[in-house]
Amino acid sequence: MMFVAFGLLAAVVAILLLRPLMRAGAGPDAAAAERAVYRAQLAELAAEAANGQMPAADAENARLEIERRLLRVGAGRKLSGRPSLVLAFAVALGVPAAAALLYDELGAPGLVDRPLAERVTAQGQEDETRRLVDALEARMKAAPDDPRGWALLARARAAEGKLIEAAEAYEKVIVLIPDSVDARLGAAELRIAAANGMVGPEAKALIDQALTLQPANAAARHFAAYARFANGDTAGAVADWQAILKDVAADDPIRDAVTAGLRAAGAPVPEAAPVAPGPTAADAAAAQAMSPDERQSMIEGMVARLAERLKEQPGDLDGWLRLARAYDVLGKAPEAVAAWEKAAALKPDDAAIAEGLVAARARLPVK
Amino acid sequence: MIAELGHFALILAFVVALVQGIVPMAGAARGHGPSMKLADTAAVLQFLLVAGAFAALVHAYVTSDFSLVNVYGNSHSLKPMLYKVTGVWGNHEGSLLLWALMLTLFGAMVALFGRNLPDGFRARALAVQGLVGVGFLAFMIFTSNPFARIDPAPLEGNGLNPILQDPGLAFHPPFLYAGYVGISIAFSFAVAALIEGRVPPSWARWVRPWTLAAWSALTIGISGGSYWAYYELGWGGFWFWDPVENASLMPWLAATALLHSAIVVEKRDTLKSWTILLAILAFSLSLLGTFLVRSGVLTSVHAFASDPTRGFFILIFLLAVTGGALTLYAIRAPALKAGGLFQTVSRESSLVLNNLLLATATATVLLGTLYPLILDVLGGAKVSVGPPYYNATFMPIMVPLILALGIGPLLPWKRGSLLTALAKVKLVAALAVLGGIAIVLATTDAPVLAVLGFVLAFFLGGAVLVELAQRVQLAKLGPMGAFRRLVTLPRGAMGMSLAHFGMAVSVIGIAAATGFSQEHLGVMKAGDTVEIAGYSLTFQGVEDVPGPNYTATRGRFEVEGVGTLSPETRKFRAPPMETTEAAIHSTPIGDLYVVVGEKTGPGYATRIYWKPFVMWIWAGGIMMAFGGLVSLSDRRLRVGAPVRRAAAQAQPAE
Repeated sequence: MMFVAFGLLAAVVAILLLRPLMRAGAGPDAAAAERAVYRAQLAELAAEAANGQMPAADAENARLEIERRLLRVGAGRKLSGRPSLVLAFAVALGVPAAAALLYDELGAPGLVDRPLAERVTAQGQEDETRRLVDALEARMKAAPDDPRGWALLARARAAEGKLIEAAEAYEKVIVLIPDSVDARLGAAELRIAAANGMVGPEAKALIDQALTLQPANAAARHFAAYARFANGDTAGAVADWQAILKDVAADDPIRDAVTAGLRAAGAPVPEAAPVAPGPTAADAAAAQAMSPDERQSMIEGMVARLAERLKEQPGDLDGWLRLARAYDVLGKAPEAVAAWEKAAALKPDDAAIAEGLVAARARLPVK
Repeated sequence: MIAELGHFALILAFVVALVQGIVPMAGAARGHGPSMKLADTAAVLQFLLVAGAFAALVHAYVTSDFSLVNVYGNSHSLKPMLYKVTGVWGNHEGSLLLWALMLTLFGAMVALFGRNLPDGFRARALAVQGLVGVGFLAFMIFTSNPFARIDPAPLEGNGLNPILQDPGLAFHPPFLYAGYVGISIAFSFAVAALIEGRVPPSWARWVRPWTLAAWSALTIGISGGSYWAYYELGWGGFWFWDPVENASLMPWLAATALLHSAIVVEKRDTLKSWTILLAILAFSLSLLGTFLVRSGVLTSVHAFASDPTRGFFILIFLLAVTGGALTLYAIRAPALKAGGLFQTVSRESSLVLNNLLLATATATVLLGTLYPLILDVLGGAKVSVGPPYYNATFMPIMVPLILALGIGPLLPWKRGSLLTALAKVKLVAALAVLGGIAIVLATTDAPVLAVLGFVLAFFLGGAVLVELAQRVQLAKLGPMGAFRRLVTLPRGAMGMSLAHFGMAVSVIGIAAATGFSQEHLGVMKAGDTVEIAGYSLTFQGVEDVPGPNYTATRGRFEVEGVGTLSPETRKFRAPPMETTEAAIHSTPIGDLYVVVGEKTGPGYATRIYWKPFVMWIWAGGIMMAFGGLVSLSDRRLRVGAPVRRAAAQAQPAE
């Protein structure tokens, strides 16, 4: 579509440029044109003198002056009026060709307009995500040696529900970084999710490799425990999980997954005070006593206060990061994207922030 | 798709400009008609393509398409629609595109309306115009592309400099560019005449109207810019001798000289060589202005981009245009035939004097503008050349210029008598000096320069009226007959009188506003009252007012007999910046100018000025530009023949 328009435009230009070159007939020579100017001046003068707009004496003087100049005009050079086919050909082909070459060098062929009004609708955001993922896919085809890109793609595919493809993306990371535990666990998790919680041989192999690489890694140990649980060894799994809970810090994110596993296995869950960076102890204590609705509104209130404060102090990078993560957690994707963008603007070459931004964009609402 | 189509159109325009610059030039040299005719088509096509590109950029701004780097960098979704549109040229790349649009528009107009020019000459002039276009389009495409894209597109733009978020941006740059670019036509005609080795008879008929149109536009652009600075910058100054202002003043001075020497070419078929040189210099000064503003050599509100590659490109372009044209001039100028002769005292010689003075004034400004830059490059001290330099150099040149301006139009073509002319203005001169003495007596500590300004302005205004009275034969025909003659007066003469009178009006404004302004600076609490120039202002405190993309602190001043004045300080969010919006009460005899600033201790910092006759500066500018347009509308034949002693003057036809 776009290239049809380009072609039409270039064709119209070429055709219009052809016309004068193909048409025969020389114009009057230069001397004739000059004489015509003087004759027109004489005619104008006569008309003005006749209308009484100019005193007769002035008009007479002016007429003499013009006639003197008219006499001085010599013979002009004869012009050739033959159409030049070679020239016409060169211009008609050269102009579009040169423009196409330059555009290929400088332009962004095929890149569509991105008017803001279209982008803030749900459909627009869906398209946006789609385009981002497509762009990433294309980039990974062109540059398959970038592990960070594969990790991003894995997350983007997972967000779209393409679990196996996402796992394959993680496996590319494993090829590029052979000792990556995170990529193995990511792939394993996706394969387990794709198999509705069953741990197949591929997932099992990935978990085993991860555990061999880092036997103390809590996440790896958790997946190993889950593999036991899925294969029917509930007692072994519970023992492993309880051992993990003893080893990890009180605010380790793996804790939630482990306690969920224990609950699924019907085992008692040991108490541990959650330690979050944002709220004070009093806030957290109050949160314990609240209903889920109240808790939600308290969190939202805190986020709103943070957002308000950042309006006053837009240079607070840590604040923006906290706000972005909070929005991520609350599932407010557009706000999260905006907050990540602010953070990215403050620290443009930070890889972690860029990754957070892309991840948040990938979570923009998809119908 | 529209953005990319705009980009493609711009590239096509560049290629078409190349064709326009090469094929007709070669065709004219070989005497090949069809190649010469190609110039017309190419010029119109180039305009249409650039207009398409411009429309595409406007579309991107209006729809906030942040996938264009240019839109992302200079627009914001919350910006009011007017500033989304004017923001198109409120930045480096977009302003270049506007430049190119004007340039190609003028080229297309030569192609469409220049049928009375000989084919060969028109082909050469358009080819030169095409080459200038090549320079600008290449500069844009290769160093400052307005259609560069970002993918993925950000969701919000960086916003436009708040100082530029003003209706001034809607008219100041377009007029200024129309002026600069109009001069390019005179340049192309000059270079075409040099290549041809002769000046065709319709040359002056063409050069003068284009120069007039360009000069009028430039006058409006400069007056408008000065007025904008006056109300936006918050301290009531109207001219700062800032290098960027000088960059627009120099082409204006050169164009003024060109305008006057073109009259001599048109009427008397002489001074051709000098006029051609002036045309080259005037356009070179326009380009120099672009170089100074766009290269980042200077930092100011006009310098959107400071990028050495860009500066280098413009410098090379400037050297190619100026150097090439001057070399051509050195080779070909001796071949240009001199026309009619004239005596030392005549209208021609007074116009030559005018040219000499204007050229000296231009050189003075050029020196003052470039000297600090050159010194800086050579590693010398940082110096700033300001008003003291210009008062000592530029002003003394203005004195004889204004005197000559009064007397020159009273001299006849070819031969005249200075004594006769002086006799006509001796009464006016006496009255002007008396006026000056009256001002000194009526005021205390009147500055010498300001009083001199008044005397000169009175003299000039009076001399213009004397000349007009003589022209309509007021003494002979009485008021009614003279009025009838005034109505049928050639528009060229009317335009001249208007423009010269406008100059007198401006000089009065400048002299009064610089010499006699009053000010009151200080912290005011609510309820405080200040007396200035017969006005009594009572401060009533401030309030916060939300705007579309800013919040304003609005002060309230109750002025007895006038009402409320509400100056504001606006805090913008994107980009975070403050601007002051002065409240101005304008009257024909002066402006009351009020600014409210930061909260300071118990009150607010306020600045209150009385600027007598300050509006006259711009009223004079508008009169000058209007005079230019009136003169432009004169289609009369322009052949000046020496006036013989005509004993029996023609009676008015009745």
